[in-house]
Amino acid sequence: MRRGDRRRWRSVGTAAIGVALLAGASLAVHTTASRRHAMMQTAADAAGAALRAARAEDAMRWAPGELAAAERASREALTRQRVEQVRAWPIPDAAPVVDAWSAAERAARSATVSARSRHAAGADSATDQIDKARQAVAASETVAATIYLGPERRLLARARTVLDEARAYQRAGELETAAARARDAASLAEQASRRAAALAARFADAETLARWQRWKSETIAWSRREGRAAIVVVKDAHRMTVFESGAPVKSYTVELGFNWIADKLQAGDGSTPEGRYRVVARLASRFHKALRIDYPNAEDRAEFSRARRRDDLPASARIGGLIEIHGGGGRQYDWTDGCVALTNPEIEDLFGRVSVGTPVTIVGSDTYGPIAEFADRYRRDAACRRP
Amino acid sequence: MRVRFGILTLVLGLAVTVVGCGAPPTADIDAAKTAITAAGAAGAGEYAAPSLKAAEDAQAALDAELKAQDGKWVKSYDKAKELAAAAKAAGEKAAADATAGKEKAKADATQAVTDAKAALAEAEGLLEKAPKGKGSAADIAAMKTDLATAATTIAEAETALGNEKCLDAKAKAESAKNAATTVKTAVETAIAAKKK
Repeated sequence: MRRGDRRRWRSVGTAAIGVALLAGASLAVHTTASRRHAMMQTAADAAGAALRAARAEDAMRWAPGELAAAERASREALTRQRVEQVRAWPIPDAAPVVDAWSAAERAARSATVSARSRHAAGADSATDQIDKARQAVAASETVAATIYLGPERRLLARARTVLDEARAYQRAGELETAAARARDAASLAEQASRRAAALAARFADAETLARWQRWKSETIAWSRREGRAAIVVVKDAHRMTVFESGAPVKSYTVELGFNWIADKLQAGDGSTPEGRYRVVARLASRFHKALRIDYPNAEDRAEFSRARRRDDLPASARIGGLIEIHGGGGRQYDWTDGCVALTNPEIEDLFGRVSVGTPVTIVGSDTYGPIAEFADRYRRDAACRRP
Repeated sequence: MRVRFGILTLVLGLAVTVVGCGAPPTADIDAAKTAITAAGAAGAGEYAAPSLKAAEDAQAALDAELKAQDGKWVKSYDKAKELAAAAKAAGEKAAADATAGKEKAKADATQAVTDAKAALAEAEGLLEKAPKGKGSAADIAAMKTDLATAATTIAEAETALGNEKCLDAKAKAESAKNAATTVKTAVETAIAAKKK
């Protein structure tokens, strides 16, 4: 080989080695860079997935502070990654970037856990409050079916609509508002129950109950002494009993005024009067037949005057009258304006047992019954609730 | 002379290129920020939260790119320009989603109020035809109280709707409709019982 050829081959060899070294170096750089980029991307993907999971758990509502911290950490990691990619191209330092993404991922996971737990607590609280409100409304409705609430019924109507609102908010996922509305509904129902309890309170009053029991026993004693018929109506039991010579001979279930829980005070109040009366007329009636009683008696007039002096009555109030025991009943609820209703066969039967002058004693109760129990229970519960 | 002129042209050209690539796309960045702010103002936080979050994420990517370019001698804002365009598009989408979401919520609430009013009118009409006579007065008074409460609730729903509190309006309207329907059912039952 000539000297010139050897030199040429040496140059070619040197160039080939150089190219091979360059290729090897490039490959090494590429491999290292790819590995580091992949490390950073894996960390970024994990943090992104954790952040999406936090948002899916509605962390924006239930853990806003924690979510904001996670989002801030994520933004910082993103910036650090991009700065590193540019600053140290082509081989970025992946470790601090991966650390930053890991911190963001941890923050997002923490937001998810907080959101999940607070959401569950919120859901439980809303369900609990709605359940309590439902029970309060149901209790109030049960009471309202027995005790006429008058204008205070609007409280119960409002309680029902507010409870419906609470349910609508619960369906929409607005659990805090749902719980607040449920509390409002329970409070309204409670006010309606309080009104009913106030009306029922006199049934639990020992003195009033003793007076009613005395009226009843005196009426029975009169029947025994005179050997004649007498009628006793017990309002809370919805029961009328006919006594002959002091012995009970017939008993009827009766329907009363729609506001029977109260003692009659004025015309149109829907109450059935309480007191000692007598039958004053036997009449044909649009309710088959009727026995009219002498309401208002002297005691009723005196009570009406006292109420007027106390300004408990409007100037237009009248004491009313035309209280009867009549037919047309059997409707299973209290529907009269204050009269005592029997079924038509029963009024026929009663007509055969009594006459004009027969005593008719009407009392609220003759024993400590369910109405008194309700009033006492309510008073005790209210005392427990008081702070 | 010719060689010197060529070198000068080359240097000037290079300088122009470097400076030209090095200017941040301010208009694009501002447009992206404006679009995202507008989305927030359009109620995206309430009606299109995921879209708003996507736009904020796009903004975060843009901010990261700008910060990365800040540290370079030779800046390139091509990627920033792309990211700004993406952020602007995401902001505009969030605004559009918010408008659509708000309109839907408003339409739902309006429909609920209309339904409640119809139910109330129907119940009131039926109550006028309710069997009257001794004994029904208290029931009718109670049902009128219930309907008056429903009417008050509908008025509250309309006020809420006027204040763009659509969910509040819908919840109130639905509860009023329930109350009216309950009265209607009770009157229908009473009418049916009377016919028997």
